[in-house]
Amino acid sequence: MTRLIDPPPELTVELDPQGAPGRITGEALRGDAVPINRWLVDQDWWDQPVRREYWKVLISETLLAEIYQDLATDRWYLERLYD
Amino acid sequence: MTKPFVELHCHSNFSFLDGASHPHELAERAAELEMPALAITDTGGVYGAVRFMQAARRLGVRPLIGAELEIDGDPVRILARSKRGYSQLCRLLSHAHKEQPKGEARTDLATVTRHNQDLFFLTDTDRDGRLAELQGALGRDRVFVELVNHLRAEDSWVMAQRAGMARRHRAPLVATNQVRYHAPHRRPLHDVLVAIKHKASLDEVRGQLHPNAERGLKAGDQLRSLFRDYPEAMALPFELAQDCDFDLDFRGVRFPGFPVPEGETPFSYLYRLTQDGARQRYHPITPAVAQRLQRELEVIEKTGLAEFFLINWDLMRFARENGVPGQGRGSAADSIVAYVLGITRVDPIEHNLLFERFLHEEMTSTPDIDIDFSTAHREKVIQYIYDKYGWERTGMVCNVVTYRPRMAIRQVGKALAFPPDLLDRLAKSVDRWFSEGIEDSMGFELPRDIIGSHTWLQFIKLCQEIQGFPRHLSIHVGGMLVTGEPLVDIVPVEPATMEDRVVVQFDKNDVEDLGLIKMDMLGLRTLSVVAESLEMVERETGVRLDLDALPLNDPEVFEMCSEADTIGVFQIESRAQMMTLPRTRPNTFNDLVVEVAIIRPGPIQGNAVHPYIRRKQGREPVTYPHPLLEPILRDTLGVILYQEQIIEIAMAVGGMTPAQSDGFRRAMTRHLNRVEMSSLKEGFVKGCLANGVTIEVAEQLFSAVEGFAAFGFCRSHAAAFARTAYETAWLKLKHPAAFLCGLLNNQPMGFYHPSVLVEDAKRHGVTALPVHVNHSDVRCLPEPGRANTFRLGFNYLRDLGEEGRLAIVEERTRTGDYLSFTDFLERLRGAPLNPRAVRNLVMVGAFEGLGQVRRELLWDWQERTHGIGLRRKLQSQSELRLPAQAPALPALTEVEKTRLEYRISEVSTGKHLVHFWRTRLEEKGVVNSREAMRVRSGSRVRVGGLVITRQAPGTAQRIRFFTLEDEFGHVNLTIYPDVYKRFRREAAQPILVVDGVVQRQDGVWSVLVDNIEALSGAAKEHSRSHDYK
Repeated sequence: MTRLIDPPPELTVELDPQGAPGRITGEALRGDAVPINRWLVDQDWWDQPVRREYWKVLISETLLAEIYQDLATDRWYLERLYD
Repeated sequence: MTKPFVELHCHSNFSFLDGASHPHELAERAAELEMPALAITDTGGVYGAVRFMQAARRLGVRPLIGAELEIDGDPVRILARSKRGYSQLCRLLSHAHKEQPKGEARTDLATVTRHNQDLFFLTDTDRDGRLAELQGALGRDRVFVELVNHLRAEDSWVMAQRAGMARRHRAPLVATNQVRYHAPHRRPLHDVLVAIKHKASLDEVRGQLHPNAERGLKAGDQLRSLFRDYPEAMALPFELAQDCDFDLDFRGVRFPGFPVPEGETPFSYLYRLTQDGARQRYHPITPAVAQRLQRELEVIEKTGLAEFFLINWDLMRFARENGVPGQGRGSAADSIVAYVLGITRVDPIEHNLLFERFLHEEMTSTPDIDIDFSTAHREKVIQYIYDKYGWERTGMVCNVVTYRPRMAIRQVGKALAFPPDLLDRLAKSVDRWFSEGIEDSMGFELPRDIIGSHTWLQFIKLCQEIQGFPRHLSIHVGGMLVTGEPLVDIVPVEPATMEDRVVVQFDKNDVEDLGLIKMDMLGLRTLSVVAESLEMVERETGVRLDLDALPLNDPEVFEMCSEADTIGVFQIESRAQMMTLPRTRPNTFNDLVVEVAIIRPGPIQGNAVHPYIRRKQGREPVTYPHPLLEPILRDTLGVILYQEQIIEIAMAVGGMTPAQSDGFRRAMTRHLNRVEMSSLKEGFVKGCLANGVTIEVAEQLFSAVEGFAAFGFCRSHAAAFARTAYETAWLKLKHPAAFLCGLLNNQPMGFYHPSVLVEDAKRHGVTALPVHVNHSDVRCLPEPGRANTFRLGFNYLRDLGEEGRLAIVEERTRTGDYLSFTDFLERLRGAPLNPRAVRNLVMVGAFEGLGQVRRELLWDWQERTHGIGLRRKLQSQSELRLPAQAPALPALTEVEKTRLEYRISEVSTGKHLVHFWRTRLEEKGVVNSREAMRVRSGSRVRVGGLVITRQAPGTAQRIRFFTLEDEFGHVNLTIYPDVYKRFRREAAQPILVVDGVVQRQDGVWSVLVDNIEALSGAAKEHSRSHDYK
C-alpha cells in the first residue's frame, strides 16, 4: 500500500557526494536516505510545466518514500510513503 | 580503454511525425559528441539516408543506414551491414509498402527471412516467445536486444527484466536511446508532431507523450552511468558499427543498357549518329563545327557517357516521331552533340555557347539533360520509357512535401488548442506576398490576450522550427530514374497513385548525388501552345510551318518586343520585362537572350541591369575590366551575366583547366565564408600572374567576377528559352488569332488571366466571336473563312465538362447543326450535361445565333423540364409539360450580356467591362489609359480600370506593382508600403480609381500612387487579377 501525501510537505535534503539524497530533515520525514531509484518528469510544457527529479529512497533502513526536487525552484518535497 | 558509444536507433524527421530533427542536425550533434558513427533508422524507409550520409561523411562520422519496420505488428530496427545488406533492406521495404495505405509499411517474419542477408536486427520486445521467433528466423548472431533507459520510473526494472530474457536466449544486448531529436530543446516539437499525428491537441494526447525530454542524442559518458550494470551493451554498438561500412555508390550500374546495332559499341553508334545529325544541321560542316564535335565526343568517350546521350537521343526521336513537342533546356544546350542529336534546338556555335558548363572530363556526376515536353503530351513519353527499359528498372523520383507557413499554423495551432476560428484567420491571412516570418505576415491585429503570451511565443517558435520539415512524399511529375540493376536493389519503391507506377524513396537531389541517371521531363505548356497554333495555321493555310527553319532576325518581331507588345509571349510578358524592353530595345536574337537572363531577382538586386541598359542605349561607353575579357564579354556589353562567362574567364585569364573552372564557378555561386573566398582568390590570382596579368588587374578581375557570380545565369538555358520567346512573338505577330487560341486552350499558364489575352488580341485587330451552339468547337479556334477572327470554344463555358463539350460537338458532327434549343435538348437527351451547363449555354447566348432569346428559352426550359439536366432522362410523362408561352420578358441589355459572358466564360468577346463604367469614371475625372499615356512626366493624374495583376516582389522592399486595364490598354501602378497600408482594403477590390503622379523614362511609364478608391458596385465576380509574390 502506498499513501499519496497531498499537498506534499517540503523537505530539507542534503546530497551525498554522488549528488543523490543523503540526509533528510523535515516534519514529515527525517533520516538517512539510501537511493533505490531515480527518474525525471518533465511535462506539460505548454500549460503548467512540471519539471521534477524523483527519488525513491529507503529511510533509516525501514521506510520507503518517494521524494522529488522541483527543478524550477530547487525545493524538495515528499510525495508518497510506502507502508 | 573504454570503447566509444555509437547510437544505433535514431529517427530523423523523415520518420514523418515521429522525429524532430533534420538528418544533418543529427549528424552534426554526433560529431559534437565525438561519436564515431551514427545510424539512421527512420520508419518504413531510407528517405533521409542520402543527405544523412553526406552530412555525416563530411563531419567524419561513419553513417550507418537502416530503417524501422513493423514485422508482425512489432517494430524492429534493421541495419545494413554492406551494400548487399542495403539492397536487401530496399527489397524488404519495397515489399512492406505494397498493398498498404499510402506511406505505411508492414510485413511478416516469413518475408523478412527471404531478404535477410547482411542485415542486423534490433528488437525491444519483452516477450520471450517473440525473441525466440526472431532468433529462429533470422539467426541468433544477428538479433540484438535493445536496452533503453530514458529515466522513467519503470526503466531500471524493465531493463533488468529484458536483460534477463536476453541472457536466457543468449541474445547480445545493445544500449540505445531510441533517439527522436538531436537535442532536448526539440522535445516540444516532437510532442507537437505526436499531436499532429493523432489529429488532436497536446492535452488530448498527453497519455501518448513521453514523460520527459530524454530522447535526444546522448554522449557515451552521459549514458554510461545509466547502463552501469550493462557495460557489454554500451560496448557492442561500436563493434557493430565497425562491421557496417559501405558507401551508396551506384555509378557502376547506372545505365540500363542501350541496345545498339550489331558490331557497334554505344560510343561508335553515338559517333555515327552525331555525324549524320551534323550533316543535317550544318551546310556545310565548317572546321569550327567539326572541331567542336570532335572535342565533345572525346570528353563523352572519356567520361563513359555515350549511353546517356543515346538514351536522350532515343527519347527525343520517339517524341518527334509521335508528334510530341519537346526540346532540351538548361546547360545541355551548351553541347553541339545534344544539338545535332535533336535534343536541343539552339546552335551552340552560332550562339557562342560553352560546352564546359555542361560537361568536362573530370565530372563525376551525370550531367543534367532537362527536356521540356508539351504538358499535354508528356505522359506519352513517360510511358515510352517504362516500356523501353522495363518496369523493373524504371521509377518516378519522389518529391518531399515540406511544411509551409499555412500548414504549420494550422497544425501547430491545433496541437496547442488554439480556437479553430482564430487559426482559420491566422492561416488565411498569411499573406502569400511575404515570406520573411510568420508573425510579420499576419494580416490583422491579434487579440491582445494572445499576443505576447507564453503560448503565443511557443507557437511562433514551433511554427518556425517545423518549417521545411518533411510532411509526406509526393511524386515528382517529370523526374524518372532509370537504372542498370533492378530498382529495388538500389532504392525502396512505393506504389504511386497511378496503377503500375512506382515512386522511389529518393528525391531528385538524392538521385543526382548517387550518380544515378535521372531524366527530367518537365511540362511546358508553351510547347503545347506552339504545337496547337501551328496545327491551326496549317488547317487555315494548308502550310505546315517549320519553326526550326525560322530565321531569328525578323525586325518586326524585335520592334514588337521593343515596344513591350509581349502579352502572351513566352518569358518576356511579365510586368518587369515589359518595363525593361522599351529601354533595352532588343534588336538581335542575342539581345533577347540577355533579356531572358537579366530580368530576374539576382541581377535586379545586384544592380547589373542598369549598367547594361545604359550601355545598350549608348549612354555609357562599353568598357571591359581587362582587354583579355573583351571577347568573353562582348555579347553582354562588358557586363558579366552568364555562368559560362565565369568559366571562360577562369580558363582564359586564370589559367584553369575546364574542370577547375567549373569548380571555380560553382564555388563562387555559393555563399562562402571569408577563409574559403580568400583561398579561391589566391588560386585565381596565381593563375592570372602565370598568364602575365598584373596582380592589380588580377584582383580587380576577381572582384568583378565575385560581384556577378551570385546571379550568373546559364547562357544556354537563356538561349533555349529566348528561342521559344522569339517563336511565340513571331506567332503573335503573324498568326495572332491562332496564337491566341493556343494560349486560351492551354490555360492555366503565363502571367495573365485569359481575359487579358483576349482584350490584348482585340486591341490588335482580332475579332472575337462568342460561343455558338453550331459554330463553337470543344476548344477555341480561328473562325474558318474569316481572317483574324476566332470563336470561343465550349472550353470557355463554366460547368460544362469535357464530356459535355464532346457530346455537343459529336452529335452535331454526326447529325448536323442544331435547329433550335428544343432540337438540342431532344438530341442530347441523356448526355452528360448538368442543369448549370444548360443554363450557362442559354445565358451566354449560345442559341442567340438561332434567333432564340435567352431569358425566354430559360423560362421555357424550366417550365417544361423543371430545369433538370440532360444526364438524367425524363422519368415519366408527368415530368413533361406542354410548351407554355413565355411571358414577355425584358430583353437583356448590352451590359447585362457582357456581365453574363464574363461570369460564364471569364472573358468578353464584346466590349470591355470598363466601357460600361466609362461615364461614371469620367464623372469622377478619370482619364483613360490612352490619354494617360500622353500626360507629362511629373504631372498628377487620375486613372481607373480593372486590376489585372498585383505583385509584391521580394526584391522591391514591399513596394507593390499593380496593373490596371481598360478598353484602351494598361496602366502600371507603383504603390509604396505606407500608401498600401492605408488603402489595403480598397486595393483588394476589382475596379479601382487611383490618383498619383506620372513617372516616365525611355518610353516606360507608370503612376506613383498616393490615393486609392474602389469603384462601388463592381462585383467581386469581375476580379480578373493574377496576384504574385
